[in-house]
Amino acid sequence: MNMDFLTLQSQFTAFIRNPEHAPVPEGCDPERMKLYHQLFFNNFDGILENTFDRTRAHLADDQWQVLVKLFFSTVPQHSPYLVDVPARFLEFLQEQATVPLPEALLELAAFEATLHECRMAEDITLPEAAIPSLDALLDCAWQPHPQGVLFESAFPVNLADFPLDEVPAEPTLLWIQRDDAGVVQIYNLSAASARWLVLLDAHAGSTPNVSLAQLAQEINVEPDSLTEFARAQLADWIADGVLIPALSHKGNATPS
Amino acid sequence: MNTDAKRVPVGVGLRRGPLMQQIEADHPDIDFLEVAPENWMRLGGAVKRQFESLLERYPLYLHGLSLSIGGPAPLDVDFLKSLRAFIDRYQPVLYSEHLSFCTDNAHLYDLMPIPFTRAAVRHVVERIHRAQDTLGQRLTLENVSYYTAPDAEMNELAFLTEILQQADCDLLLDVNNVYVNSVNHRYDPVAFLDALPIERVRYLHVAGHLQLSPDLIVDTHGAAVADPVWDLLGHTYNRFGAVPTLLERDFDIPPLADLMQEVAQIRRVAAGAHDKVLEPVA
Repeated sequence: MNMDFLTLQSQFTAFIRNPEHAPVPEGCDPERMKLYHQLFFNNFDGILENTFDRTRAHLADDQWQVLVKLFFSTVPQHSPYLVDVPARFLEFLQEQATVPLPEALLELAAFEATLHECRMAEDITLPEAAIPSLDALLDCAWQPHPQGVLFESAFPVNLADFPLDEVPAEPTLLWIQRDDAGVVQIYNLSAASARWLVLLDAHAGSTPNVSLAQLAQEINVEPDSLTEFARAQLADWIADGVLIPALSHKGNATPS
Repeated sequence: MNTDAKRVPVGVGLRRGPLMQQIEADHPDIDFLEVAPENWMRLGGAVKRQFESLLERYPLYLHGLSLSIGGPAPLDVDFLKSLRAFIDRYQPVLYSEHLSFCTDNAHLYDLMPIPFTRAAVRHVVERIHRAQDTLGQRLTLENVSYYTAPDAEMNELAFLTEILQQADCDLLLDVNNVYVNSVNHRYDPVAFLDALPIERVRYLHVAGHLQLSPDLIVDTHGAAVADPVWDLLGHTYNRFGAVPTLLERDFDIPPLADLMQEVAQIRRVAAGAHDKVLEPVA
């Protein structure tokens, strides 16, 4: 017995991460150490294939293997939760240059990572709040649901199949949010709707008229001309849970 | 729910997806559910509500994955505090972990054998004490399966029993792991069981495995329990009594009805053990 156990542990993990460049730990069977590597690697590969299944489908097997092996062997995971690995893999994909990836594929990977995050997100406890009548929607303060995500991409990443080498004239704007049944819902937004959501968030303590006035100014129309659009859009968003009554600094819903 | 004092409590692992839906729909005759806290601690939405609803019907056992009690890096205190909060909230019957390490300076999310050395025993015992202090309860640690191990100063049995004694903690006796290791490392599994301290065994696991060659078995949790493990389980009940037992199944999970056949088999094996020793353990 020549080595202390910490050195042995270090040898063990080094081999599992990268068997081609690490020696077999003292006393271990080389073939069985390869089995360890394969089992651990498969665990990573499994969660990444599940999360990024569409991204994976666009890559050749050897490209995917190179990426996952590089990630597994070089990127330390500091979270005790395996479900955090996909977020780290997305960062890795965006930073690595070993396998050049088209921008469309990186954006697809970001979209898939966002879906995963929404599926796995913890609950936020929201106060009970009465929803006002349709006529009063514009008189109450609203904000986007804190667990929803506004996702923007140059590519229609939400479509099952899209050409990676064609950039559409208009960007794809999506609101992504888990519903009460646990299903991640994806809502398509127009540019004006997406901008209004951003403004509603920025002016969450005010009635929608404030953000609507700013939106009207930005798109160079009279605020009154947006009233019907706003009322219908608010009703849809509230019904879908995209908007909730604005939370005051005390955490209460605040009709104003 | 189990009302027969002499019937061994048997549970199954709760996993999101079809199995969870089947358990919700059928309310099967099982005595508890086990979950890996790491997979449920940050849960939200409908799945969390379903989880909490099931806990109104079934007692909860926790079986952790990421503690890395034998790891070289300092214990993750933030994680331990989150775990404590989860335990305080859901009041499980028992929290268990693995006598292994799954980290170096980072997580690998799977189990590696701690080198069987005296220094490693001291290292692990000290960490068990600190983890128990933070969690406010005794740890119950599982004997893990392994395929090869680095240079050692003692064998697996001596390493395990030394830690149980010095740390004054409990044992989750994984009967499948005893069998897997006995094949992989060529020892007598019955002799191994007979040498374990009876008073430390609080919980049992049984699972299926994959035999790759005559002298190599992988602990997959992806198949039905194998015949030699059923035999060993019978011997386990004879020696240790009606210890609560989990049927582990993590991959290729069959329909609930198939799992319930194995649950029934566990109960038959326990019932077949000697009546005298089948008083449930506390």
